[in-house]
Amino acid sequence: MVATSPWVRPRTLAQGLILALAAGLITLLALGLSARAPKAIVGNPAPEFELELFDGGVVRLSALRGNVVVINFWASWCGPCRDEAPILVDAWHAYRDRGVVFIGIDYVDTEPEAHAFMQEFAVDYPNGPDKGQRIARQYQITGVPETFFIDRQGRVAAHYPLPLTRHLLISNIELLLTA
Amino acid sequence: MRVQSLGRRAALGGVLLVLIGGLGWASTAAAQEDDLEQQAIQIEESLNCPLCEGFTLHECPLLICDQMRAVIRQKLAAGASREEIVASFVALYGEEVVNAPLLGEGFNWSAWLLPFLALAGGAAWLAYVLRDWHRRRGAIAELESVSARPPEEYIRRAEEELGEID
Repeated sequence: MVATSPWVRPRTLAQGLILALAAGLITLLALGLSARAPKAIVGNPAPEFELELFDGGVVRLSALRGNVVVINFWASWCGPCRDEAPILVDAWHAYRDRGVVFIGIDYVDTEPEAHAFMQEFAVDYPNGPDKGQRIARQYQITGVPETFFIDRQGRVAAHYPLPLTRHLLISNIELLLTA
Repeated sequence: MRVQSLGRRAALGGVLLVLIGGLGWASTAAAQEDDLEQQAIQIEESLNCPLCEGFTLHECPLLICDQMRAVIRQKLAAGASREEIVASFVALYGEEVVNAPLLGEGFNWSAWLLPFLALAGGAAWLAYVLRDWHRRRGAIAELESVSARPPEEYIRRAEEELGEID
């Protein structure tokens, strides 16, 4: 009969600790990678968010269910956003009484320049800063401008990671209004 | 005549006083400006560009970083502290904008410390293995040297016997 020592050998203990540490690191790495893996946005329910607006109000996406929602990510430092802004403002004025809501999300920007941009292009649809880049992460945007079209059921119907043309904007809105 | 001279002297003295006061005020203002600039640079160096990787806010050439640097200077001039400015940037751009761990953020600290802990653990393990290996090698070498050399008594007797044969 072999007597077993109640003490664990230091070498075994050290190896166990190293293995546990390595396992922990691999788990953290796997968690990080799975969190970064892109998930399909189009065709799925639009990620819910609450946006604090520049004018002090708050917009919650789920509260807009039943409307067609156009979510536009922009920034004052973004050149193509300047080309797109008048098109968005015109379309907002044309469709705001027909069950279409526009939301502007200001991505990685500074407030004075954001205000100047909105004033320059007379942007009057709900707009607010993406605090902590939380909404940008939810929608997995890769830059600005990017636009998402949300149908009346709250699903992402289309996503354009590029500046919109008037035709592209109107055709997507019309498609969702007649659906 | 004498009154005129006194008046002239008083006027000259007044001008000199104004000049000295103005110089003093200008140098104080310049020193304050320098101090604010130094503070602004320190804040910029402690923050990352929110769009590129590997660039601090101080060195990034993007337009947004120009805008952010201007905001830092505006806030400092308005009397905001470094902590207030950093907190407002974290709220707007996320924790990634800070290039050092935030105090009080448990996960952040663990994320920063874990690699160093792993490194220290690995180094300790390597040191233990090397020490163990060295100790064993030493023991084996000692054993070999002991077994390779015949005992003194045996050598003496062998030499005696060889002498007898001769």
